[in-house]
Amino acid sequence: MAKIVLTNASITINAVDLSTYANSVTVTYEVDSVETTGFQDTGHTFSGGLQNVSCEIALMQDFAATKVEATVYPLVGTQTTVVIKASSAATSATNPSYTLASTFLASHTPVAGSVGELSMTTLSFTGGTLTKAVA
Amino acid sequence: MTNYKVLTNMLADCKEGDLVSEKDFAGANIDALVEAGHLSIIHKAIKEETDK
Repeated sequence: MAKIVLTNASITINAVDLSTYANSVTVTYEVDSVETTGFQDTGHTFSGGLQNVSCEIALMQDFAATKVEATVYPLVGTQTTVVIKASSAATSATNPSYTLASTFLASHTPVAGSVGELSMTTLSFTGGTLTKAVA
Repeated sequence: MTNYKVLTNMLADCKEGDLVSEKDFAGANIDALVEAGHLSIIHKAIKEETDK
């Protein structure tokens, strides 16, 4: 298996392809560990609980119609679907697609940055359910 | 079911000018897509008139 340098990741937020505006993405797949330790156990034991997924995406800001800000602003406080792939190529076993369904966007920073810096907005989607597709 | 016209080339699996419905965007926030200018609502009466 080849090692991968991310150069062509695919970022789709609420069905809108914002790949060319993103320069950082992190999908975190986590399942709550529910303690099931009982008397007479000799160590902690756990079972898997609910998914606790999140996705953080950094986007270069664009206020033009239908671009970054116009797309993201109406999503704050709502649930949506985010789809991430390591490459924009077709979904396959070597390029799986990760879909966060019903994930919640709590905040968006329309204007953020210091003088001389690129204007960015970092989105943190939390909750929902993550599924992985290979075809 | 409400139908929509795609106004941009930024939507997954769609291109500008396509006619779509809610089921084409399962899991997406359709109102947000309309507000952002990616979709416009096609009212049934207008669509029927267009189809003639």
